[in-house]
Amino acid sequence: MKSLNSFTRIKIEGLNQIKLLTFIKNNDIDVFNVQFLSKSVMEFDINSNKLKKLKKIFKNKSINYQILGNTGVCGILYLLLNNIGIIISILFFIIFVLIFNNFLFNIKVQCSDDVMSHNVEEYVGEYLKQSNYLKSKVDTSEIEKLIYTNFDKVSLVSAIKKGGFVVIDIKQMLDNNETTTEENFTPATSSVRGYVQSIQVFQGMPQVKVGDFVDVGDVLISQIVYDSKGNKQFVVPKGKVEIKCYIDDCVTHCPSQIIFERTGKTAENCNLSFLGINISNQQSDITFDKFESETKETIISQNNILPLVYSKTIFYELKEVVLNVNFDDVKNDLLKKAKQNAYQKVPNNAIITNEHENIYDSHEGKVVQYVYECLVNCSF
Amino acid sequence: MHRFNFFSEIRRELKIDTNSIGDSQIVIMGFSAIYIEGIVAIQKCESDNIRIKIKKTTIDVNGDKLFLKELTKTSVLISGKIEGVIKS
Repeated sequence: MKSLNSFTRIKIEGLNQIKLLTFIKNNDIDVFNVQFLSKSVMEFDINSNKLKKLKKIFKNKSINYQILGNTGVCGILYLLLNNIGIIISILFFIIFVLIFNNFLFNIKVQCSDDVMSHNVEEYVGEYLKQSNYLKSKVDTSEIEKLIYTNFDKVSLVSAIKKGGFVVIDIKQMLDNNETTTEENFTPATSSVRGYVQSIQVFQGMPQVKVGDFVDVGDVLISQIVYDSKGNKQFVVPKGKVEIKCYIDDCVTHCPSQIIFERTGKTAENCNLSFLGINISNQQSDITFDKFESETKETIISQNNILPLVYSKTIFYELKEVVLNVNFDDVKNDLLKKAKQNAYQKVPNNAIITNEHENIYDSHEGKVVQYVYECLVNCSF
Repeated sequence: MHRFNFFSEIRRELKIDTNSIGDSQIVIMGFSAIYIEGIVAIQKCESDNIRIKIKKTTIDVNGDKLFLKELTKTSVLISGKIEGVIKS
């Protein structure tokens, strides 16, 4: 029962507090939660309806007291009175919402043709004006009928009331100019390999659904449609298809590589030529199995008066050296190379959504693979 | 605060004379609260000892973190760790 009552917290300063407490209780005032803060300061709760009586006692005994606050029902009322401005604002807001919930002021038209949506919006706006914008007076089935009869290109229309909005969804009829019996229309095909993430067809017949795997050249939207009589018609396929594809590149690491090193043995060929004609030629026998050569040409005469050219070719003997390459040492380089190669393969209209690397063993050695997850937007 | 007086009910049930017990009843609840009925005055109130005067004698409630939870004209409810109740 205590929680339903209202309580007032009192603070008293003075001596003989125990005596005062007994005096208060003897005056039929119940005291709760007595707290002695110090020898001369005490706090306690009393029923709010006994406050007047207590004040009288304090006045007669000349006791200093202080009212700290109210709890319970009285406390709530006190809080409400102190925040009357906020409460009135909230009440006004609720009233405002409740009133405006009965009206329809906004129109939202979903249609692929902007001009038509504007016209429908204006037309429905007039209708709402006639209905005084009252939600109860607005009949969505009537709106549907009016749009259907007043707009030629409307194939399907649906209207709903949503909050303060009238939402109208319109499906347009296929434009006759865009249909033909000629069979020179081509279907919309995929330019990448991947999975169909989303498909939105404005014109034509969808040939794939979300989740389907498509290869390069696969038909996404067919150019053939059938009219209400079942006749085959050809249209320009129009739509948006998002394809999720994985573009990768692999670089293989060979644990042993053969490199060639110079042994230090050399052989030289010298040649002197005048206007491209050999004057002197000194050649030595080359017995090296593997070699590489460097040729240096020097014009002997100064200022090019005489075009005498001395060329010297040095042959260096080479030997095969097998080099063991630790994978960890070159891992980062291989990854970088694979990443660069894969990035070059990403199409221009693709959005990279994720990327990751794989390292796996093959019979040729470790293979470093870098994969880009892309979302390719094919608009037709 | 009007309470249902279960002491009167017990007295009636056991046919105990009211004068023989001096109009005061004490109930200890799980050594965490003590309820005393028939009090006259509070004589001392400290966190480890609260002395209460009843009609013919005095009762010392000893314990720890003792707290006057409720004080009415004839009863008192003390909460805290009750260690002992001594009649002096």
